[in-house]
Amino acid sequence: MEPEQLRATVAAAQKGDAQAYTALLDAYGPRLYGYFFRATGSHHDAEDLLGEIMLRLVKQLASYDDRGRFEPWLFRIAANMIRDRIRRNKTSPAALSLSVEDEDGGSLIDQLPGQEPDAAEGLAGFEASLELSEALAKLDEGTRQMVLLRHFGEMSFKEIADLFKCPLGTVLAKVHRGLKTLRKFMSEE
Amino acid sequence: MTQDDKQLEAVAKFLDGQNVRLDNSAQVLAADVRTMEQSVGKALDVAVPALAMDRIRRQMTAALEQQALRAARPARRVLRRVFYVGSAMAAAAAIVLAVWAGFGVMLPKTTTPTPPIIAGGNPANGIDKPIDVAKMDPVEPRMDLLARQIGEMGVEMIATPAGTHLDVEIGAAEQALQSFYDNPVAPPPAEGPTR
Repeated sequence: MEPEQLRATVAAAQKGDAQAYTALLDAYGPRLYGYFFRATGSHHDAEDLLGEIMLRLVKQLASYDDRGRFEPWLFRIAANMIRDRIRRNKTSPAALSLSVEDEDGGSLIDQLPGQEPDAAEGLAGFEASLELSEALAKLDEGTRQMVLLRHFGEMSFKEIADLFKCPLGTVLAKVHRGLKTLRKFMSEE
Repeated sequence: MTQDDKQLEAVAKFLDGQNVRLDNSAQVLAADVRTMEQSVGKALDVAVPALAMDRIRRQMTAALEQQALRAARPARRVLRRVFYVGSAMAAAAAIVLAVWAGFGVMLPKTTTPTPPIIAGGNPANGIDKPIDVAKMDPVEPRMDLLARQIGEMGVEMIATPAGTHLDVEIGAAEQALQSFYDNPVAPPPAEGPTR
């Protein structure tokens, strides 16, 4: 969304315009969902968290002071939600097994998006996504969050450094290391 | 801060769009980070299920409607309070008026409290002892005093409820006067030289 259009949409949403909120959901929903999914490894949690953050917007957007950086503000809220959920669950995505089945016989593997693995291309994409999820799970929590916020939140290194309260060089080093690990897993398929 | 830290900070600022000069190794690092972010980023993207988006859209719309209803409640609450307070004040004023009017009808018209008349004088009227009218020299002051006393007695008769001791005294005075007319007293003998 263009900056001017975003500013107008946020202003309308602050006045309670339902269409403005729908526009924000359409613009940022996919990125937020992707962030939540990659951070938790679960589609169920990703949908749950996306619904929760939109409800928080309904409650909190009126008090938001729009200084032109709506996206970092939005993804800071998302990052705090992930941190709170991890603290609540006291588990990390690294501890989750994608092949663990629930009472219905389904597993996290079955929840991965994409076409049914009945074609070579589909299967490759399916397996790549699976390996990427496993690779993400191997990163430490801080590095994983920084990599995901750089991509989905399009946050600058400065904004991530402020969010995590660590030096600028440290953020760059962690992101660089995390990207190398992910690329290594992707290239090993 | 070490040299590596400084270099990393410079690369981060460069990638954030700041005008920073990088040496050769820093430029290589910056290019590597940028390339990996693009390739890994494409793999990280994931599609949102359409059903999930529909569900969230409905939840959001319902929350907005509830918020609109809640926003309307305070205004209605204020109006309700104003109405209740105004009604209470009007009712209180009506009660006070009714009580005041009722007391106005019941109470007799009097300006000052009227103490009882004491035989021999009324201290409230400034008369401490019986007045011997005969010994007062000027006639007009005597008459004025009598007239004033009669007037005061009249006021007291009007103000004083019936059946007080004033009625008793007046009745006694009337009886004494009547007996005087019925049985006139012989004048005292004139005083003459004594032997």
